Amino acid sequence: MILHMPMKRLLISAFLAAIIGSTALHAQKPMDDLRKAVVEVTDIIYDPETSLEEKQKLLVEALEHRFSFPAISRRALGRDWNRLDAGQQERFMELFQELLLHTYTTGLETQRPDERPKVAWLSQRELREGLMEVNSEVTLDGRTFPVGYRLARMEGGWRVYDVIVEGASMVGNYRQQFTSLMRGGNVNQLLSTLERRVDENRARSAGG
Amino acid sequence: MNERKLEYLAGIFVLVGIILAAYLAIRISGNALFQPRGDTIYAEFSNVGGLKVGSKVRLAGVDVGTIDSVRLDPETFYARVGISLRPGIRLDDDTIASIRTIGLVGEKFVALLPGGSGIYLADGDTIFDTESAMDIEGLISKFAFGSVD
Repeated sequence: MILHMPMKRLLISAFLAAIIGSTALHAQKPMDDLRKAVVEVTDIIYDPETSLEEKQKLLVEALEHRFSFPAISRRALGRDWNRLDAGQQERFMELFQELLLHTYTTGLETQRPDERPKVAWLSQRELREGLMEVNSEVTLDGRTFPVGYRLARMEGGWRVYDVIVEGASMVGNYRQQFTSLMRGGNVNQLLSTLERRVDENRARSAGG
Repeated sequence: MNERKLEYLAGIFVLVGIILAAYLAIRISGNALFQPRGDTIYAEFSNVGGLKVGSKVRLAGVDVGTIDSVRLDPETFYARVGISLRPGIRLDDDTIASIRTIGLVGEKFVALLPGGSGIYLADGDTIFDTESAMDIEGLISKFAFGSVD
């Protein structure tokens, strides 16, 4: 999926905000804490003193803790998840996680302190027991985009399982792509396509 | 005698008329009167973009139901949409309901992206993982003309 540059930076911002978002949601007033935390973390992210490598490392660590990659993987595959055996599910999770992390951490070098997005926290609502939605608006390059987070209460606390930008669901987007890759129950086609993408990304990163 | 014959004819004419009207009503309603009803599930959207009662519900491009009701939740200001599914359609609770448009500005319909949680939605349950109608015109203008704020 080729992302338009402002859209890609917007997604990065959405992920950054979600990192702290899921932490703050343990508290009684999630949105107030979310607001404070966003300021705190964006200060670090947009710190010109921190090297790109260091930022990426911090981001990867934080994403792994704040997003539920097993839930995202399972939801992204939808019904096809059950067609994979345990080994294939494990392999799919590894590849998909690497693909997601690569997508949302490359482009960090384009983040300049003067381009810092403004985040306005609009509302939060409990969808049902154990599911929550937090709505925000991110202003980037003079354009405002609605960004929503869907969180589920899991063993380690609230974890993000989907991000919705301009009404489009990240999980929904991948579910559609994976469904066409899995047409006819072709698990190998799915895994080999992901492996190819991951290898390409690694080669690109190694090449600078 | 002639008068009686005329009355018979008029009676038959009315009867045929009623039968034809009933046939027409059944055809228009898609034989709904004689079809067993499937589950009705609900989905919440922040924007339905003009989705109407009777709009189609599709899964893998196949019609699997129709929109039963569209109403505004007075507390949350979210649109709550009732989806009447065809019998035999069972959806997992992580199914994504997405409002789509036929073409760029055509008719709206609900596309279902089936999940795989293994927990099935029962009659009256709600899908919370939804994608609202995209404001295409708004998106184009944002990228084409920028914004004042």
